[in-house]
Amino acid sequence: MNRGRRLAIASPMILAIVLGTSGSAYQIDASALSLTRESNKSTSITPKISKQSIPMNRSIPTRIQIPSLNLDSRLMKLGLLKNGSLQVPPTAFPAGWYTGSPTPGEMGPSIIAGHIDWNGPGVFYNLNKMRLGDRISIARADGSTASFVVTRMASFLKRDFPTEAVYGDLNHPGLRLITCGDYDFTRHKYIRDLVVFAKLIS
Amino acid sequence: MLQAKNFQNRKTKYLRSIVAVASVGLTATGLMLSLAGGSQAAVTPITLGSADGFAVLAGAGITNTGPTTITGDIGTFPTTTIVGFSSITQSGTNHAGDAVTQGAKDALVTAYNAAVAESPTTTISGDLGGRTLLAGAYSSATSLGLTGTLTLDGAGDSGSIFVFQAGSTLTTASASNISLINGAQSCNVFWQMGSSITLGTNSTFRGTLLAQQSITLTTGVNVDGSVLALNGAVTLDSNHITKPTCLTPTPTPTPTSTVTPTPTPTPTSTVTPTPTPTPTPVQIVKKPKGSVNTGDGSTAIFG
Repeated sequence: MNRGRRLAIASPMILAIVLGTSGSAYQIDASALSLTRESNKSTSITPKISKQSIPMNRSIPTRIQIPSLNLDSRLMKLGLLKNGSLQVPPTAFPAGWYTGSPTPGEMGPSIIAGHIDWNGPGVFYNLNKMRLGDRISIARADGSTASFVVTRMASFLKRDFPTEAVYGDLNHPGLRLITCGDYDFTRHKYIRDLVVFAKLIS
Repeated sequence: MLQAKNFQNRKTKYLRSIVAVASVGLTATGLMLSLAGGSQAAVTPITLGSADGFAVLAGAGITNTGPTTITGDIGTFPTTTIVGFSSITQSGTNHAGDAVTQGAKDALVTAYNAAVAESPTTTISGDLGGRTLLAGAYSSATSLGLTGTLTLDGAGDSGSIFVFQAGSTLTTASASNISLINGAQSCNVFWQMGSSITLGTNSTFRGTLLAQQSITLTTGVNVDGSVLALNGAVTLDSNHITKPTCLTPTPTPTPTSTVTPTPTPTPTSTVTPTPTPTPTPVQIVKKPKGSVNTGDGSTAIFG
């Protein structure tokens, strides 16, 4: 199980190097992803996204639910560390929302980070199993729910982390889930960050 | 092995090109400096966009005590509370937390970032009292203070722009003052502070205040400019705040031609629908640096 998972994420990286990509990013292809999934939807792969999702008012997120991963976690608040990098949760659970980012549903990129593992499997252990079109629900303090659909999945070398692509301005309410990927056994650390990009649908 | 070697070559090439670019950049900078005579470098004008009509704009509410006079609009968002509005005499609109305020807040983020991005800058530190400065961008890694009078000299150019950046706070002393001479104008002076601004009692301050956090005007402060707080609150106490009118540099007089230009017929359909201020994206003002450390490898299995 684990073995398969690691291989799955490792192979595109090797491909990227062979192709001579400078190592910034590889995009997970929608059609490739759908191959591994039993399609219970009728035709189209592209999720139907209404183009004009009206931004919601500000409200602190309290919970994240991802039905396709059977994931349900409360959310803590994350700030920045002294060196300016994103604080991460102290334990494998829960995930956390960066308080310097818009709340989920507000205009712009709302940032949620969680561990792939931390002394055992973490809240985002299965994040790389998400598919384009998957739904993410964020419960908010005002009782409302912000629903997102996954529009892009990409993993980036940590040393080339694309700050603008992940944290830059948007013309819509967006969500980014961030965790680690690709453990390097010689250097004893993860060398990539996996980012799930999603867009508000309601 | 082969792959690794290729990668190494690529890396070397990459480094070489960086070095090449860097040296071109250095030459260009050197050229600019010598052209500018070493003292001042051109400052990029900062546009306030839809925040321009605002005399007071806050992120976490406005609190006023005592009789305050404001010329210009006011608004606050996302905290929309305005306390003590009844003792404010205002010539302008109270937009509270409406869509106009929200659009202005977004424009403010852009203006703030433009002020942060201003470069090159002259390093400045400590107290600005007693100094006379020419147009330019001035930067302090930490705080700035003002006791007495700071003189800003436009050197005859009414388009002279002054930008002050500080990593943390700006604090002015009681009865401190800013004197504008030789064409310097309040509308062309910008104060970008990484945290908060506090102006001392009965002081006079000029320019656009851009604070990432809060702005506090103590008793009797006069501001010839606008008070714009990105995330924090604005606190007022018996103040006069006047949005300055800005003189555009007079164009060189066109040679006299006695022919009075026929006025272009004003199109009757000037009713261009005012575009509802498209709320430009809420930005992440403090973008986390670098990557995210979300794993210890405890579940990684050698594949």
